[in-house]
Amino acid sequence: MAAAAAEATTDGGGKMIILISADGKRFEVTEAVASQSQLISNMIEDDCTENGVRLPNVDGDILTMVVDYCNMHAGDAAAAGDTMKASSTEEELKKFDAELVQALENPVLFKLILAANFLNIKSLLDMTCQRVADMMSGKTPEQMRETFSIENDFTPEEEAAIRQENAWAFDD
Amino acid sequence: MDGDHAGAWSDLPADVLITILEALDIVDLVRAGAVCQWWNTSSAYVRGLHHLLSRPCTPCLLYTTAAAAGADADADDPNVATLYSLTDHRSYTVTLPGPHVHRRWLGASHGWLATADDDAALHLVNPVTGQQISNLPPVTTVEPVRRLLDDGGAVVPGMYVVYPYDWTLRVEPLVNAPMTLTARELSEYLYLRVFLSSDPSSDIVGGGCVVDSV
Repeated sequence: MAAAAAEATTDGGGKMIILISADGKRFEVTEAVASQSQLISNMIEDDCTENGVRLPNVDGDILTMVVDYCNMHAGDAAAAGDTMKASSTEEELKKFDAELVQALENPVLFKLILAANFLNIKSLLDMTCQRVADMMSGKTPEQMRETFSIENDFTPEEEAAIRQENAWAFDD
Repeated sequence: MDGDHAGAWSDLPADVLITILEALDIVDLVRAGAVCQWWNTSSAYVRGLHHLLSRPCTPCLLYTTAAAAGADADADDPNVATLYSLTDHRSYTVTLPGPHVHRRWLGASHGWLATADDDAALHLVNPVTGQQISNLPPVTTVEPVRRLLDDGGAVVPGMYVVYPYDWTLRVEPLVNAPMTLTARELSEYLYLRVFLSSDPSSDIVGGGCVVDSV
């Protein structure tokens, strides 16, 4: 216990944490970077990151993106002033975010959303959800199904009833 | 690693799907509800939350036209209205919920329209969700308004007597003679503009929304 307390005081991002993806890839990041995940932040507080953090539902390629994102954004989180590579300007960050999210193929975007949700990284979750909302915007239900490969599981009667109920939104 | 089954997007966790749906305009939100069962449930939930309609957003213009009501319909069918969205520059035809009565438009607050029917009763209508609130207190609960009675003491339908107050808020029959008005005249006499103090659908407990007419 005493040792744990002593470690906890070396705050400021100096301490390193190992994240281990579902397929066994290891990522070494500072506490400040990893703490952007509320899940990992809680684990750090509970002092159970000693043997690496296993993330059994996050693939290595997705975790690479998440770690890149967190490295880029460590600046906002670690306001404590411990500047490693964190001092990205706001414009750089915006550019980075826009490029990250624009470049995503649908299945990758989906996995990234689930990872952001599981790791509880609010800014990344908001950004990826907004991307999905943008992709839905202005589309008909049929186009939405096509975009996201969703099967129509309504009966014809159910679908007609839904369209009838809000007919104004469907008159193209 | 490529274990994506086709249905993945239709199985999004509820909290994630709700975050996405909350970022949509109302039209896209309604359309998303017609994609599949799970999205329908989530869309209905988000629409039920209603903060979407209460959040500060660009208002829509609402108007009634003969064209919107259909060629052979009454030139000013008050139950078909057109919403023009300033954000996506297009109009949507909405059918207002029944009872289908002549309406006088008295105001719009928090996404709700306040209208008066031909019997001087107030109704609140939400053109987007199709909800209607018609159980507001009757016009006779307004202090100076009484029903007109015939010689036998029976109520004359559609007619009212108004005892105007003077500035001292006392009824002075000699100075302010009572007026006998039809319901429609009463409506025009009584209601100028209606405001709502809050969104009636956000009020779970009930009784928190004050409908104020001037």
